[in-house]
Amino acid sequence: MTAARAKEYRRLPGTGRRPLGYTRLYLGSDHLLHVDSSGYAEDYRRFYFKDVQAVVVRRTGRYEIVSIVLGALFLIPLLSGLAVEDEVLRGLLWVSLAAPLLLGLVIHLLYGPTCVTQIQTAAQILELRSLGRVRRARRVIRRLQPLIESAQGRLTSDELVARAREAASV
Amino acid sequence: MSCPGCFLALETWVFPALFKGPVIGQAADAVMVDGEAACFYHPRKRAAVACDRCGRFLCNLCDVELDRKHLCPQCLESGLARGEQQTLENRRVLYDSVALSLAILPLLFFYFTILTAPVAIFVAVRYWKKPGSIVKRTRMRFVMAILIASLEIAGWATLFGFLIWGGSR
Repeated sequence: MTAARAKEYRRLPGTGRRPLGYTRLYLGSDHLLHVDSSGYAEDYRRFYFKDVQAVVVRRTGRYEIVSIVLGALFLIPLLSGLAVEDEVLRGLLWVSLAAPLLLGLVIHLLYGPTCVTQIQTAAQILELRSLGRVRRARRVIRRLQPLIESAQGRLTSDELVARAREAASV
Repeated sequence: MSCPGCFLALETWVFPALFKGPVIGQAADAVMVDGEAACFYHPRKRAAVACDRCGRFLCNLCDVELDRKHLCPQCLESGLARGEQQTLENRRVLYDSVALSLAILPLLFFYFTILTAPVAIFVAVRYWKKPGSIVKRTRMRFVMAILIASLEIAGWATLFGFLIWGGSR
């Protein structure tokens, strides 16, 4: 029974960081579980597939801003090292300051553009902090989409346009 | 597409539930014939279903459908208080993490462990059977907390023993 219950939820990629805690998403049999943890307590929110109205991914400028900041910070010890004559001090500057910043910059660039992902039901709209990168958000949504559509049916683009017009005219 | 306000790129996945109106619940029917089964909580309303837990007859208003079961409000509440309705649980305290933190964190200021080590063992034993996280299943944190706290207590006992018997020689 323990093994069966352990497989009740499958963890989805991504961890959303917040001060003094983190958020994660888990896939249940008929719902998406959002876990907000402080380390000592967990708060749960369930999004049943039959209730999900929309998922919105909005690009943010954080990707470009962090890239510029990390790039600038990397340049400071790099250029300072070039200006220093002492080789030991130069090596120290590059290894202890420049290298970690370069590593951070490369990792940040590899993760790709940042975004805010929100899930909407009739009762709530919640930001999914763990889906803060566009590539990860798209990957997870591609996994969720067939599950939601099997619970609700599929909406073709013609139907979507027609229903949107209908809703706008009310 | 782009947001018309901030012009940042937007991607939206829309599902049929967005255009579905609110679900209208069924009204409870009145008892029409004498002797007809009536709701336990509303004697003038016709019973529609029986509670899967206590067997009481329920009208459409009292019937709470949860995880494909029909429950009465009282069974729902008592089930929630006993932690049987995992589907409705919104919060859980992670006592295993509390116990492990009590065992490990005070090591930064070693002297506090004389107080926190017994507390860590108490928390681990007291809340051993309490359900942990909905998504995690093992009690490894409790085990680690007990082991580490026991080592701390053993360390203190050794130190006191050395001070008492070592000093008396």
